[in-house]
Amino acid sequence: MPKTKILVVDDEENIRLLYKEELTDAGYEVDTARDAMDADKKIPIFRPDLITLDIKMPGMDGLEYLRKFREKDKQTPVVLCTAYQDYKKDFKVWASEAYVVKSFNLDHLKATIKEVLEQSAKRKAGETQG
Amino acid sequence: MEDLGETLLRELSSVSLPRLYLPGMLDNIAASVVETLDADACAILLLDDAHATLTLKASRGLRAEAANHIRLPKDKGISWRIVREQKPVALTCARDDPDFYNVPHSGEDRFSSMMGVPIMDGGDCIGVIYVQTVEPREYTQEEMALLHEIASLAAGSISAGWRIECTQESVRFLSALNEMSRRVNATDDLAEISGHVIRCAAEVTHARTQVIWTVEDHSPSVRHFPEATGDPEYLRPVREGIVAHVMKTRLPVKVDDIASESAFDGLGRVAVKSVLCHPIILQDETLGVILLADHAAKPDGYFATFTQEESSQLSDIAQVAAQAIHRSKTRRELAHALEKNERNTRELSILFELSISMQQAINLDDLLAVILSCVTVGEGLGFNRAMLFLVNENLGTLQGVLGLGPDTGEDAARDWKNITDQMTRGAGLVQWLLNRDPDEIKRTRYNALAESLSISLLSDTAPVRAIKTLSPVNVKSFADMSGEDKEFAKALGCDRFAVIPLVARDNAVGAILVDNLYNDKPITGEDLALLTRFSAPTAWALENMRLVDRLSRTNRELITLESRMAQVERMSALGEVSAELAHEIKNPLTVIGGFARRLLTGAADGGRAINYAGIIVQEVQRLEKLLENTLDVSRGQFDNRKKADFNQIVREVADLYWRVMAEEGIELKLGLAPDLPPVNVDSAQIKQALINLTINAVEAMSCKRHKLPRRLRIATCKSSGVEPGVTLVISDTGGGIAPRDMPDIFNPFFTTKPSGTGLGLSLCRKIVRLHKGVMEIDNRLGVGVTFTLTLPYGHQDVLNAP
Repeated sequence: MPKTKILVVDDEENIRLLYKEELTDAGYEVDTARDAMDADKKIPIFRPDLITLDIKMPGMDGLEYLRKFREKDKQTPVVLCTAYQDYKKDFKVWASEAYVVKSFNLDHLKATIKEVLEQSAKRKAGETQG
Repeated sequence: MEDLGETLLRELSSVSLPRLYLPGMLDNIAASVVETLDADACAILLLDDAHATLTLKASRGLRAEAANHIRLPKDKGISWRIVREQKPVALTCARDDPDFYNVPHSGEDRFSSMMGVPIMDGGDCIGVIYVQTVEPREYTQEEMALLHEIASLAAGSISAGWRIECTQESVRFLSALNEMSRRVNATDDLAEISGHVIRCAAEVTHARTQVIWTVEDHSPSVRHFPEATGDPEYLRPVREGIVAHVMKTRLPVKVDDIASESAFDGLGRVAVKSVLCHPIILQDETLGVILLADHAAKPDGYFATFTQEESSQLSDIAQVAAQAIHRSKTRRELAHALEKNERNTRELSILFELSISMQQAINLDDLLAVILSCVTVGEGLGFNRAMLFLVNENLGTLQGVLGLGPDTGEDAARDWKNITDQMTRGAGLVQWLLNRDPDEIKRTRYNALAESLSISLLSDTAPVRAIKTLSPVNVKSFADMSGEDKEFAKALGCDRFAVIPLVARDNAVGAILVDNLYNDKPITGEDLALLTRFSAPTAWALENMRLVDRLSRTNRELITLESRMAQVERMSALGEVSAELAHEIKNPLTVIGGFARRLLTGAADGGRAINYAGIIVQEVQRLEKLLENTLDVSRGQFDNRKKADFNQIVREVADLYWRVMAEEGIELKLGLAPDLPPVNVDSAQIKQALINLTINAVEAMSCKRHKLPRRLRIATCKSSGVEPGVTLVISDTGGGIAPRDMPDIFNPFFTTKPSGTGLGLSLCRKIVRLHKGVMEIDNRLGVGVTFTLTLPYGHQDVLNAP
C-alpha cells in the first residue's frame, strides 16, 4: 500500500526536521517546504495527500497561501499548524480542515492528521459512489 | 284811584329813569305795587333771551333769598301762561288752576289768590308781574288795569335795566372766562388747570357743587370744588350715570330734577337735584366732562335749575378747558418722551461701557464679577442685589455661581457712597468695574448664599420658570409665588424679586436674579426691559467664555492624551511583541521539547541523537538571545545614553505643561541648581518619567475637591548621598494618595484615574532602575505627594558613547 504523503510547510528548519522525523516514524511519507513559493514548487511533483501549513512565514503568510491554494485545489486537506492561538478567530482558517497549535508534544498533531485523512477518504469514497 | 295811579307813576318815573339798576328798580316797583294794591306779595319775573326760563328777579312778601334762585322752566306755572297768551290773569284760588305750579320752599303755598299781567316792551313780552294775597280775593278790573299800566310804564326801563344787567352778566362772564383762560395757559399741571376751571364755573354760575372730571390715560381722575379729598359718595351715582352718558354721547346734558328724569333711572339715592354736564372735547377727542350740580343739602334751601344761558357759558368754559387740558397732556407726553430718551441714552452708555469692560475681563470669574457689578451699581442698573446662576446640564440644575450684594443696609449705604465718591473723582464705570477685587465680592454672606443654591431644573421656582419660558419673571408679592417659590424666597431673605434668563442662541445659559432689599424700590417692567436688553451681550459673553474654557480644557486633554498615546503605543508595541514573542518562543520550545522527547523515547540512534542534542542546544541559545532582546524592546528604544543637562530636561517638561498649569491656577516653582554637572542618561526616557510624574501631579491638583492652593515644585540639586549624582524632587499639593492605594501605585495597570492606563509610575520606576537610580515617595495625606529621584552621574557606564 502506498504511503500517505504529507507535505510539511514551515519556515523553521528544525521544525521541519522534527515533523519529518515524527511523521515518518508514524508511517507517512514526508516532504518539506520552507515557504509558500517552495510549497508551490513541490506540491505538483510530490502530490501530497495532506499539507501541514504554518501561518507565520516570510513572504506570503500561511492564510494567504491557503486561500490561493484553495482556488486551485479544493480536495487536498490542509492542517494549519502554528504557534499562534489568535488565528482561530480568523474566518480565513475555515478554509482549512483543522487548526493545531504547536506544542513539543506532537501527539495532538498526529491524531488530528489521522482524523482529517480518514474524513477525506470517506468523502472521496462517497463521491466516487454517488 | 287815579290819585293812586298818579302817585305811583310819579314815584316810578323818579325811581326808574336815573339809575337803571335793575334790582333796586324792581324792588321799588314791587314795594310800591304791594302798597298800592294792598296785596300780601308781589313778584316780578323776567324772561331770558332764549325764552326758556322765567327768573324771579324781585319780590315783596316772598323770601328774600328767593330772588334769582327761583327759575321757572318753560311752561311750568301760571306765569308761563301769562307769557304765552300775553293776557292778564286773575285767580281767586290759584291752586285750582290747572297750570298751577308750586315752587317748593318758596313760601308761596300760603297764598290763595293771585293776579298777574305780562310786562310788554313794545310787542315783546319780557316778563310777568303778579300780586298775591293770603285771603281769597276777587281782583277788580281797575286793579288789573292799574297793574297793567304800571307794567307798561315800567317796561321800558325794566327792559333797559334787564338789558344792562344781562350785558353786565355777559361782561362778567367773559372776564371770568378770560381770567380762567390766562390762568390755565400759565400752567401745565392738570390739577391746577382743573382747579381754575371749576373755580371759574363756580363764579359764573351759582351752582353749589362743581366738579370736573378729566380723562387721563384712560383712568378717570376727579377734581372737586370745593376741594374735597377723595370722591364724595353722594356723587357716585351721578358719575356712573350722567358722566358716563355724556362721555359716550359727547352731548351736554341738563337735568332739572333728577328725581323726575326717567333717563337716569336707577341712580339710586341721589342727593342732587339739578345737573348740568358738558363734555370737554378737542378735535374729536373726549378729554373729560365738567359737571355742575346743585346740592339740596339744606333742608329748606332753594335749588336752582340751570338756564340755557348757563349751559352755553359752561360750553365756553369747556372749550377753553379743552385747549388747556390738551396742551398740558401734550407737554406731559413730550416730557415723558424726553425722559425716556435720556434714559435710553444712559442705558446705551452703560451698555457700551459694560461691553468694553467685558472684553477686558480675562477669565470667567472676572467676567461674572463685572456683569453683576454693572447690574447693581447706582450708575449702572441700580438694583440692590444681584445673583448669577448658570445652567449645569449634566446635573440638571441651575447653579448659583456669584452673588453681589451688601449684607446689611449699612453696608449698602456705605458701598454706594464709596462708589459714588470714586466715580465723581473721575473714574468712569469701566475703571471702577475693572478695579474691583473679585475676592472682596466673594467674602459676603450673599455670595456664600448664591454659591450654595443649586436649583433643580424640574422645580417650579421663578428662576426655572424664567429659563423655561425664556422671559423675565417678576415676583411682586406672595400672590405671584408658587409653593416652591415661597421656600426659595425664604432662603433668599426677600419676598420681592425678579429673574431674567440669559439667552444665547435660543438657549438659556443662565439667569440673573435681582432684588431691592434695602431701598424696597419696586421693580418695574421698564427695569426688567433694561435688564433684559443688557442680558443679551452678557449671555453671549458667558457662552464665549465657556467655549474658550472648553477649548482650553480640550487642549489640555489633548496634550495629556498625546503623551498617553505615546505610552500606549509603546505598550501596544509590546503587545505585538508579546504575540511575536509567543511565536518566537513556541518554535524553539516545540523543537527542544520535540527532540528531547524523541531522545527519551529512544527514537533516535547514536548519530541522530547527537544531531538532536545539537539542535536542542542551538534552540536554547536562540531562546536566550530572544530573552535578552525582549528586555531591550520593553525598555523602549535601545538604551540611548548620553551626557545630558538634567536641568534642560526639566525645563523642557515644564515648557510642555506651563499653559495647562496656568489655566488650572497651578503655581509652578522651579528650583534648578545652577552648578549641576552633566548626567549620563537616556534623555527620552528621563523626560518620559518626568512627564508621567508631572501629569499625575497636575491631575491631582486639578481636582476641585481640595481647597488647597495649587503649587507644583520641581527642584534639582547635587545628590547628598554616598553615590555622586543628581537628585530631583517633585512635590505637589494634590491632597496625597489614599493609604489603601499606596501598595499598588507602582503596579502597571493600577490606576485611580478613570482614564488612566496605570503605567505612569511603573514605567517611571523602571526607567529610574535602569539608570541604577532610586525613587522615593513621601506621601502626606491632605497635603500632597513628593517624589525624590536620585540618579548617579553614570560616567563610567557608557554603552553608546557619543
